[in-house]
Order: sequence, then structure tokens, then C-alpha cells
Amino acid sequence: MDRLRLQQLTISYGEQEVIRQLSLSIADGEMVSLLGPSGSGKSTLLKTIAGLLPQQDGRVFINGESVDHLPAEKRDTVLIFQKPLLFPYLNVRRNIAFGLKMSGYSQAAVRDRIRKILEITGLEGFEDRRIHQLSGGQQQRVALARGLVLEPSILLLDEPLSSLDTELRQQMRELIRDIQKKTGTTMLFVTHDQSEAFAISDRVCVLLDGTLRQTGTPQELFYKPADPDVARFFGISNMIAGRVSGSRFRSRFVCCPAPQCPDGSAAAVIRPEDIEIVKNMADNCVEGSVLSVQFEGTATRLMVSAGDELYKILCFRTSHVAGDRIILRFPENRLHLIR
Amino acid sequence: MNNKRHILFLSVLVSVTLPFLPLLLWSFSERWFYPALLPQSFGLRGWSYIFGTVNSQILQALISSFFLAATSTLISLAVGVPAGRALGLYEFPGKRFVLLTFILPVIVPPLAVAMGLHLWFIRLGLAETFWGVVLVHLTFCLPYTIFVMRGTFSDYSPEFEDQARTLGASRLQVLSRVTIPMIMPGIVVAALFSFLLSWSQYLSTLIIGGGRMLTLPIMLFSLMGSGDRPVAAAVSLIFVIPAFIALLASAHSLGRAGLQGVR
Amino acid sequence: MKHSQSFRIKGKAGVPCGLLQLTAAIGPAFVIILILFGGGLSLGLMQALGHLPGASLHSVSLTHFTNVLTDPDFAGSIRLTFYVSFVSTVIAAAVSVVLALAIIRCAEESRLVHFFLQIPLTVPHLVIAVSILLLLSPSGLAARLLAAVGLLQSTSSFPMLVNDRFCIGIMLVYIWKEIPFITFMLLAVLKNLGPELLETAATLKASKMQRFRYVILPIIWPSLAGAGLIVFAFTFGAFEVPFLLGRSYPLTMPVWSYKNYSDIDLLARPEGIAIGLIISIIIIAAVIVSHLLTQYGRRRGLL
Repeated sequence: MDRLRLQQLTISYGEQEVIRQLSLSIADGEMVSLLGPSGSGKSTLLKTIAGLLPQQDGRVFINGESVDHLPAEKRDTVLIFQKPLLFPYLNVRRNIAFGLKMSGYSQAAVRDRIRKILEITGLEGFEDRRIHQLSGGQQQRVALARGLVLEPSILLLDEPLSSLDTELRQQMRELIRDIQKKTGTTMLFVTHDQSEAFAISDRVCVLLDGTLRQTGTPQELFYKPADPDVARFFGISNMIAGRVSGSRFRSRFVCCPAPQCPDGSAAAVIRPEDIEIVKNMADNCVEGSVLSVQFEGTATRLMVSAGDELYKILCFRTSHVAGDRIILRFPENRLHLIR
Repeated sequence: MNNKRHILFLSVLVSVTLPFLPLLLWSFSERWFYPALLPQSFGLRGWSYIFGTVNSQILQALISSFFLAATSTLISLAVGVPAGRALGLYEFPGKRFVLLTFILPVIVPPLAVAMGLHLWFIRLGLAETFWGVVLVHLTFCLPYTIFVMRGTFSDYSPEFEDQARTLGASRLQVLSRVTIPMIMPGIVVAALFSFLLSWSQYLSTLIIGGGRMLTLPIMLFSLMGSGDRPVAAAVSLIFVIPAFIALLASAHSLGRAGLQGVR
Repeated sequence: MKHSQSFRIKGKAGVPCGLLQLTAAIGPAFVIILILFGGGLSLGLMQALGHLPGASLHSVSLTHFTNVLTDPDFAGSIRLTFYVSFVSTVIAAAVSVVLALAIIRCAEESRLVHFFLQIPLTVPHLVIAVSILLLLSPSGLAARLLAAVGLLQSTSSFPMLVNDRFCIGIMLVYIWKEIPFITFMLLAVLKNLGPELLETAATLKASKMQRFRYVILPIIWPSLAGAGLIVFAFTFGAFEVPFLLGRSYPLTMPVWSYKNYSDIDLLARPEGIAIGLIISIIIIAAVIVSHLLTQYGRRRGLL
């Protein structure tokens, strides 16, 4: 059974619809990321699932039961915010025990559960610390423990790592992934950072302008975007307009197989690192001139103008300079067709 | 939501303005015998008693109350702003002791202090004088000013002053063009604060001023004793005028922060 | 600088500040307060101890203090003063909590509510005492209103609300004056609090009541206790309102103190000062005790 199911969910702030007709299911034990730029409505969605914001339309099911009538404290979800939001007047132990105390657990049960969660989150020895004595990473870890200790049906995480610095973020990613595997907790993780979403989750959902555009494994999203917006979001701006006929895609200089594609106009996209620079003209090639060269360290970014179009190319250890004439090749198996 | 908001607003409005109703009615009443709900005849006797005669005692009291409060305020600002700045911007050994010294006069009532100073002031010739009363008012006006200014300066970035100096401003220009404009809201609050404190002070004025320093609150007390209600009500209303000016000024110049924290 | 090793002045954002500048800034204020406030209290103490200027120190004794403490009126006076201060502080604090939460919930941006709430902050106590007298005395506006609608047969059937046994009038003045003060102190905290911490508590299964008890109350407690303490201290030492609206017996401590001080019999004067000092000591003790209690509560996680 699905832990969480969203059915045709629409959420508005006043007149403006923030989330439109969103449907999504998350299975037990799954780790799903919701990826989208800031302002795409990710946090709003999480707050609605948690019961902190009402929806305009549609329904939320947790463990198969509708929870639309339940306030936040009655829902079997816990939301971890961007900031740790630890209660400053309580120490670490009392912060973690907060939810259990609210639900009226016995002292013994509280002690037991806290011991277990401290071990899982690697917070042993910090129980009696005051909040202001903790570093940012430790605080976020306590916030995580405070949510996990309630063993919610689904843990909602709202960019919990974005306030940490790069190295710490890396460690916390692994910790969360690790905890998820150990406890089997179902998690919905919201982020605007694609590498974070890819590294941490089984399945990624892309949210753009309030609608769910594509759901899939990180590889699927990265190499096979469903539409131009998703492609652009993952950094593909090379789009080649053409037509499909008889299961083949053709443009002025590119041609590739298009199995199961209906005839009509279509576009092929290709990642900037997949375009090759070759010596001699051949199939799927076009000649162009280098407009600009940007050395970025590992890679060098070229802007090439060819046949009225601009292409972005990422290449390694290149010696081209602006003004060079070069030949670009678009390998058949790297082209991905979108409508 | 909107309904609750209206109920809240109305209850605040009614409870705040209710006490002014009897004052207004009495100050404009000529004859008002029990049990009439409204005065039998309205008139300006109460007000003309205050402003009618040139040398009216009440007018004199109004003037001396004003100069007393203004003087206490100006001295408090002159001495209190630098102290507030130092306390807001710097950490130094003994700061807690200094803060304690300044907070005690805020908490401890001026009664015992005024009684203690009285005998000494008599010997120094300060009792029953304007300056003697100013000095005793300083014991609470000054600490309040310091605490307001300390709050202002703890949100203040002295980097602005450095920035101005690197842009070619002299020390005096930094003071007049950067520092003072930036702390103006704090200065306004502190000034209103200490003016109102001095303005509404009764007992310490009475003790140090003896019968000689006639201020508005002292007049009001003797009027209440004499039972002339229309005049007492009119004096009460005059007594709140600075409060309203302070409120309007603060609403105008301080925006939303307002006067919170003023007592 | 010579002092730099032993005497460290740390500026915000590394602003340099020498000992000399610091002394110049704080010195005058410090000296004024020390001389006027400290001097006033010490001179008061000396007089209360019976030392008269010019007389030898042999005259020093605790007679005036023991006279006050053993006075049959002392217990009644202190009880009355404590009752008035405590009850009005508690009522004002309770109303303020409700009011502050209501404002945060449905009128946070309302400038009108804020404006009207600021009025009592600036109005002198004395004016409100006069108004309460005109409003609630047996021939006051309230009695006239009741008579007009036929609910009141005679003046004597109107309940005593000023110069009364229970000090209703006095407490009403204090409550009216102090509610906005406490409310604004609470609003400052509540506005900074924002909704997130309460939302966190909600997703951690805290009900509405639990969110009040376990999140809002601990957060506002330091401000509430601080504001309450200031109000308590003020009302405990205030003279005007009980003088105007209180009964002639028993007297509150400040009124009793001034009555002695201004007595024609000059021998009563040191006793008046002694009472004034006792008031000061009680207030300082209250501040210290509440500070310790709050610290203790914090450490035990009770608050």
C-alpha cells in the first residue's frame, strides 16, 4: 500500500495557484525527492501534506486513509524545516522527547526510544547539551532525531541541508541516506539542488511552476527529460527542431531513429558534454565557428554558432579560441527526442 | 477572522477611550447634579478658570511643569546618549555593575531617594528650587534615557561612521549627518519617555519642591481636594495633552515601532 | 595603551575604543546616578538610623526601624500593598497574554489597534485615577447610568468601587495603565517568534493547548516575568493612586511613609524614611528572588 498518495492536489495563496492538479504516490520505505527551483511551490506542498496549509482542491491520503480533515498534530507525518527550529529553552534530550511527551508516552518508553535514536543519528553524548552549544550540523541532526523518534508514516524534509556549508552537506546527505536504509522510514525530501536530489533518492520528481513535470530515476531525468522545461532545468539548452516521419527524426543536418514516435514536428536535445568536436565532416555533423571560450577548471565551455543556431558545448582540455572554425558531431545514441 | 478582528478592535477602543468620557463631560459642565445622566447645563467655566485670568495659578503650573520636564529631558539626553552608546556598543569589565547601577533607579521608587535628598538639598539651598527638582527628576529620567539609547545602539553598526569618514566626512559631519540621523528614532523615544516621566511626577516634586514648585500634578491634587470637578477635569485633560502629542509624534516619526516600552 | 593587558574593552565589529573615551562617555551619567540616587538612599538611611547632621555617630540606632516594624499598622499596611500590587499585576499579565495572542493572530498589521493600545502608556496615572473617581464613585457616571435605566434606587445601593475595602478603583487604574505595557513587551517577542516554531510543534503532535503550554509560554516567560516584575515594583512603590482612591485606613506603604514624613511632629520623619527604605528593600528582594526562581526553573527545564 502507498504510504502517501496525493490526488489532483491544488493549493492557492489567495488568488494565485501555487500547486496545480498534482498527483503523486510514494510507496512504503521509498526515498523520494521533490526537485524544483525556488518559488516552484515545493515547501507549500510539504506544508499541505503535513496539515499546516489547507488545499484548494484534491485529496491527501496517508496509509490509504484520507487525512484532509485532520490538523497537523493529528497527522502521522513530521515536517523537518530548513532551519533546525529547536526549542531554545530545552536541551537536546528534551527537544527530542518533545513529540513523545505531547503524545503522552510513558517515561520508560521515552527513554528507550531516545537512546535508540541517539545511536542511529550519532548524537550519543550530546543529550544534555544546550541548543546554543551545538554547531549548525549538530542542530540539524537533533531536528532530524526529533522527527524520527516519532516513527512517522512519512517524514517530510524541507531543504534541511541548505543552511549548511558544502562539506557538511555532503556528510549529512550520507547520514540521511544511511538512516533511511537502517530505519526504512518513508521520506519525501524537498530540494532545489539537483546533485543532492540525485545522490539521496530512489526516485526524483521535478516540480516546475506548480506542476509535476516528470518522475523517474535520477538517470532517466538527467538523460531523458520529458519536455523542454525539464531539459533546460537540467542544463540542456541544445535543442534541434525537426520532424519525425516513418520512425525517423530528421532535421537539416541531424538524423536519428525515433521508435514509437508518431509522425509530426519534434525536437531532439543533447547534453552539452555529449556533442563531439571532430576533424572531418560525416553524418550528423555541422560546421560552425567558436563565439566564446570559458575555462571553468575541469571543463571548458564553448559557445558555437552553426547553421543559424547556437550550441553550448562542454569539453575537456581543449585549445580552441574564439573565431576557430570547428565541426560538431551529434552522436545518434546521445540524441533524445521530446515533443 | 474579520469578525474577530472587529471585536478585538472595538474592545480595545472602548476600554482605552472610556476613561476620557467622564473627564470631557465634567470639563464642559456647568451644573450636573446627581442622578442626571448628562450635565443639566454645559459651559466653559472649567476652562475659562484656567485660561481666563492672566496670572492664573494653573497656567503658571502648566508653564513650570513644561520647563521642568524639558530641562530634565535635555540634560538626560546630553548625558545619557553617550552613556547609552558606550553600553550598547562595547563590552568591558564591570559592565554588569554599571548596568545594575543604572537599573536600580528604574526599579526602586523615587520616594525614599527624594526623602533622603531633601535634608541635604535644604542645606545646599536646593530645596524648593527649580534646579533641586530637576536633580531629583534626573534620578529616574536619566536611567530610562540610557536604557532606551542602549537598545538603539545595540542595533547600530558603527561601520557606517567609518564608511562616512572614508568618503571624506569630518568628525563633526559624521556626527550630524550619520550618527544622529541614524539614532533619531531612539532619541525621539527617549526624549518623549523622559519628558512624560518628569511631567507626571508628583511625590518627589512635592517633597523636594515643598510648596514652592507648583506643577500641574500638584495643582490637580489640590483641586481634587477642593472638589471643583469641572476645573479638575479640565486640568486632567490639559495634563494628557503632551501624552497625545507624544503619541502623534511617535506615530508620525517612528512608524510601526511606536512607543512600546514607554511607561 | 598601558591598561590594554588588564582592562579589555571589546567593541562590536572591532571598533576601537580607549579607556579614556569610555570613561568620558559613561562617567558623567554614572557619577550623577551615584551621587543623586546612591547619595539619596544613603542619606535617607542615615536619617532613618537616627543620625542627624552635626550630631555624633552615637545617635545611630535601629529604633526607627523597630518602631515601624512593631507598629500595629505595619502588618496591615504591607498586606494591603502586597495585595494591590500582586492582584493587579497578575490580572494585567493574564489579560496581556490573551490580548497579545489575539493581536498576533488577527491584527498583527493593524496600526489602529497598536495606536489605541499606546494611549494608556503615555497617560499619567493621576489622570486615570481622577477619571475612575468621576466614573465609579457613588455619584459617578456609572451610578448615574444605572439610575437612569432604573436599576439603582438610591446612591447607597451602588457598590463601593473607590475608597473601598478591596481597592477595586486602585487596581482598575493599574490594570488599565499596565496592560498595554506588558502586551507590547510580549508582542515584541511574539512577532520575532514567527509561525515556524509553532508549526514545528504541531507536526510534532502538540495540540493547540500543548503549543501554548510548551512553546508559547516558555518563549514569552522571560518577558512576561520581567514586565510583571516592573509593574509589581512600580505599583508597590507608587503613591498617587492609593492616596486618591484608597481608604484612610489601612494605608498602603508609600502613603503611610509620606504621611509620617510630612507629619507636623518632626520626630515621625525618620520613621517615614525608614518605611520608604523598607519598600525599596522589598522591591529589590522581589527582583532578586524572581531572578533566582527563573534561573532555577530554567535549569530544571520547568520553564
